[in-house]
Amino acid sequence: MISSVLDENIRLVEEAFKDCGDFVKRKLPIGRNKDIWLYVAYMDMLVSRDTLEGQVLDHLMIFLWENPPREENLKEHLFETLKDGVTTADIQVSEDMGEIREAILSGDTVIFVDGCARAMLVSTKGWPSRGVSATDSEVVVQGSKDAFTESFRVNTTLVRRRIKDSKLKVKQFKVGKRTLTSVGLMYLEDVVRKDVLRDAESRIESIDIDAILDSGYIAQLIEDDWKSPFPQSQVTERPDKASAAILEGRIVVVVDNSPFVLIIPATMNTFFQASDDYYQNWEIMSFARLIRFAAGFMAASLPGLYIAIACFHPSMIPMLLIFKMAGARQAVPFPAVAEMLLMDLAFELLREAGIRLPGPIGHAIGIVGGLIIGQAAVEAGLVSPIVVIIVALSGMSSFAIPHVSLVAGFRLTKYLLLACSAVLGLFGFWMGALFTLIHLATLKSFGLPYLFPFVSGDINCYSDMKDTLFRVPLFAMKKRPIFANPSESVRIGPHDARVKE
Amino acid sequence: MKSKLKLLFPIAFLFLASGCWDKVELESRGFVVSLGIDLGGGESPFRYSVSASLPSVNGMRDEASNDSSKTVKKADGPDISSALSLMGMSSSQKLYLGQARLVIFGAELLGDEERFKEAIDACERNHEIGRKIFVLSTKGKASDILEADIGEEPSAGIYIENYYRNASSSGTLKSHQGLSNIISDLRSGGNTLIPEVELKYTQGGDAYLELGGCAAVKGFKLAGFLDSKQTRGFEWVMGDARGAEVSVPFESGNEPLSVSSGRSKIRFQEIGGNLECNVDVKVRGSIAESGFSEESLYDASALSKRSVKYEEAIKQEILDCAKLLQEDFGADAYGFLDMLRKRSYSAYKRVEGEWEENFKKMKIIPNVTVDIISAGAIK
Amino acid sequence: MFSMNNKISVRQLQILLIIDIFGTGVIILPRRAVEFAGQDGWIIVAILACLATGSAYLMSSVGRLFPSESFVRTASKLLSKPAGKALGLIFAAKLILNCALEIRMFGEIIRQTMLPNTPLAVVAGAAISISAYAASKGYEARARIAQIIFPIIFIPLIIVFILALRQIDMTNLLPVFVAKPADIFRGTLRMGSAFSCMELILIAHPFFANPEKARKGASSAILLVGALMLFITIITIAKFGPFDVSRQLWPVLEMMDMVEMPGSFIERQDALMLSFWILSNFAITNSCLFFSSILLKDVIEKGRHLPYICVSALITAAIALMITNAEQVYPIIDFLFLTLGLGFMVVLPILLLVVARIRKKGVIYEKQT
Repeated sequence: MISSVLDENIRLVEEAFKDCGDFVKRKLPIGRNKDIWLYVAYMDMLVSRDTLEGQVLDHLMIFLWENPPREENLKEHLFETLKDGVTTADIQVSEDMGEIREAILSGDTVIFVDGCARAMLVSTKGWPSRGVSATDSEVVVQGSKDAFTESFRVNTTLVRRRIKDSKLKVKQFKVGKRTLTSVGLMYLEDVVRKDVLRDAESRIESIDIDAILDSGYIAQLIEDDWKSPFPQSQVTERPDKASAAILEGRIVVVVDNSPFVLIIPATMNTFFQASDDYYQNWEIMSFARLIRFAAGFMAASLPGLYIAIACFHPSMIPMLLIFKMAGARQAVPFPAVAEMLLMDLAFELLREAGIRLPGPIGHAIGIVGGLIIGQAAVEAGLVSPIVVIIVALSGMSSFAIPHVSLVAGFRLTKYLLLACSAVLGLFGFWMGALFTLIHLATLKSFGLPYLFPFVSGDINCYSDMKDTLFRVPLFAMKKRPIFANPSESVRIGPHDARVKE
Repeated sequence: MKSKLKLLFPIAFLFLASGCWDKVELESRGFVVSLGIDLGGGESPFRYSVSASLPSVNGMRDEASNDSSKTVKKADGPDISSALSLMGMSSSQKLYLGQARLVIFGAELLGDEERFKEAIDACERNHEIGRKIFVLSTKGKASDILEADIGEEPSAGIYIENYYRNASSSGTLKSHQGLSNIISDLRSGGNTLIPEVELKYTQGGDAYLELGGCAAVKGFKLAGFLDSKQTRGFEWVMGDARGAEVSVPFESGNEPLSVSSGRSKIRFQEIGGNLECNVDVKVRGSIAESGFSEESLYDASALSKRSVKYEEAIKQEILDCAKLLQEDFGADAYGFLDMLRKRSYSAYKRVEGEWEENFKKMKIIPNVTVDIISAGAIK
Repeated sequence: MFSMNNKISVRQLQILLIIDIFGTGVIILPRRAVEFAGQDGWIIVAILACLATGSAYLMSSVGRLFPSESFVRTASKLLSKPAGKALGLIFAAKLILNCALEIRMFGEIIRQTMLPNTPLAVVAGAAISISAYAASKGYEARARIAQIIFPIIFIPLIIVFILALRQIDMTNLLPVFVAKPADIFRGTLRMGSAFSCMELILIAHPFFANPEKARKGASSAILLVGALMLFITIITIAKFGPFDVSRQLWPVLEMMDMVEMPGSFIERQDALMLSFWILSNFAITNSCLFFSSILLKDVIEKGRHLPYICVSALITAAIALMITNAEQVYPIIDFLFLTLGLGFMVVLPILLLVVARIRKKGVIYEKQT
């Protein structure tokens, strides 16, 4: 609680911010007679100096000079008078020390007035941040290129620009005991499912951790099944994707200091959708979707299938191919499984290395690593060429999936399938695949089955199937997906001319 | 606790998956492409002599390399599986029959009913050998064919497979090959025809394989061999004669008919207590060559003259083959009994008992119509 | 909220039924049909399909009496508590035995065609443990898995068989209708085991979200399976001819190997086709383990579902491994079907329905009074 004695307040505040070199404070007298004391405090570089000095303090001084407070009403109305003098709409009043501390740490300027047990919190936020730039991780051929930044407000703004609907709500929470990170849930009030919303809110409110440094923390703390390698919330850097999700009835979780927002709930199907699927022609995009699903399958199963067929059932392969493979393998000293694992781990190593290296070197590593190491390995007789091809194909397939977080699941499944195939051949492969399938079929994301609409598709009359393996033309996608409130499920109305054709 | 118990099942699976019993590395498999089964004869006390041709992996991989060698393994044994396992003992690789393309039976083996049955059974029961494998017969020994050094293609199996896929000549029972068909025939009557392959030598001493003709098996025993023409006579009846070239002497040289389709319809009739079989063959073809004659081949009368000649020729081929099968061999390779069974059960019941006699007595009457579709680009 | 709390929709029920029944039995179906009636064997299958549909109708009618009560409870209410529990126990034992026999047969097929040197314990154990894992996830999870597996099993199967249509000789089915009616009758009786997992309809009704539509859904599903089996039988007999089919151990597998798929570069297709049977067998084992454990839990009425699954799984594994010769399986399956199978599929439903009508119990009848 703050007191009405200014010096007491000063003492409290300075004690809290002792040893903080970036804490700026100033005690200044105002008024014609210079007898009213103000205490201004803020954190250096968290505030916008222009706003603070040019707008707030400047106008305050001038205002008080021109309208000196009357003697009688000095103590009671001083605060109100001062408030009028501050020319910004974003002012709050607080009597709680904790709130004041938080406000200072968030970039507000606190103004104490001698004689008042209240403080003014003036919003003067202006910290340094990266401007809105282009995405580098989710590149599309056609579509907007702006990306979310680390600033919470900028992110919500980017979404608001796309959805000009007052029903777009931003519910804010502060999560993390020490970081007090702003976490915001953005949704369309009438389209979102209320129970999903309540579930999300309760999960966020129940987070009890000291620090939230990135949206990834939130994703892991609110997910349904922590044991699963498959992601249960989507992560995106693109505002158009986030806006599309909100319009479907999903919830976007914006986390301060993170340029990646979460989209919940997420089913496996959503991970195969990219933004520009909807900006281009439906035929070519259906083809692209099919390729992506095929890529997903190949990324997980190719190495396992190769081992199963080559080591257990070589009768399935055409004869010439078999002889080529056998001939290539004659020089290799390792068993096929070891060969496969070796190349695969080398590939994963390259992948990791490529991420950490800066720009141009990172690109070069792909070529250097792939070509030279692969080629050299084949010529040295460490691996056979077909294994290199299989591993490369499998790796490439994993790059074709639009969402990187899903790839993690496939990469790990790949090893499971490889192990099962190595022991029991095609039968083992199927056992491993069944195990994965069982896991996926029971996985849920905020109550929604993960494999929707491939399972339980009849909940929404199979209309979700229009946007999975292929994409039907836009005018045919009349209903919103399962995420939306059933009462708001119609997206295109009967007035659309093309529907009549 | 519940979720931990659920993990019990995958863990149980992990315990079970503690070894690979069936994993065989690719390079340690010896891929057998052709198999030959002969009667074990001479000094060998054993009943079977099995030979297997394994093409060299390096030769197959690198077409540029001239290493077109193959390994032919031979082993004698009291039965086929022992012979195979004996063969396996002489190799550092594990013999694998999953890619086997060809099985050749020697004529001696075909002549022995019991051993032929065993051989067929061994091929069928072996789960590595697929049912689509080609089965051929030969007048000599199967191992000779496998061992011969054929210029075009080291391995007989691959040669035969390519042959059947690419070549389009008739007389080789193209539609009748395959272990599955042979077993079907044998199961429903004990009679079948097995295509024949022979090893021949050119003037220069190079070896080559010639396909044509077939071996007639009656009651699981070899009855005799048919030559190319006679086999074609069989194919006319079965409606399989696509690709045949019927060469007929005409006024100014030979004029061959290139058959594009030959459909046949078989009707049975009982006339005066005797069974008659009418074979209606409808042939369509085009004239491939004419002797530079002045006559226009697009004239209706010219065409009909030639049609008649072709019909005669085809009829004769059918009758020749029928005579051979009926009188000399007494083997119903056509499957007439089975057809009768399907069409007229009562008649079948009557003739079933003494079918061999009835088959010999049966009159086969071919009615051939030839439609000449085109005569080339020249008038 | 989408989970529907362990209840499944009609479509899921149909898919589950189709996958459960279309199992390892189909592989040997043509051979058994031909053994009884020669090339007229398909008639047996057709008759069976109709009878099975009728039986499905009967069984789901029993379920409608007390839609939300388990089988044991229903039987207890209609007959008496000890009778209900005894029935439950017998049913559970039958399911476990059935499951064990299926696994044994399946293990034999896998060992012969794919993994000759692997011990049976490993193959059977792997199959059972994965099925038990799926069973432990609940009925709705099973339905979801079935929805995914269903197209993987059936689409290639249908494609292969439709491609086969051009390559078969339909005259192999001639002459028609020469088989003796006595043979056909005997065949129908003995071959009913092909539909042997159908009595699960009796236990499954508490899990339906729409009990009223369940009866129609179940009957039509069984009819579809019957039609599919008929189709496969006809094609297999037409491809090989009756004599050949009667000698092959697994005719349908050989059939799938023989079909020429245009443009396919895969040489031996039967290993690929076996994949579909692996999935199908998984579905059946899954069902049997799940339902037997449910029955045991209802009878003993103590504890949660999971321990019963472990028990069922262990017993199944033990029985499957005890049978040394795969050929012993078929007579046991037949015997099981003739006694308990028919009992549960035909006799018991009729009995229960009659009792319900007499004692005026059951939701429908109670509404009438």
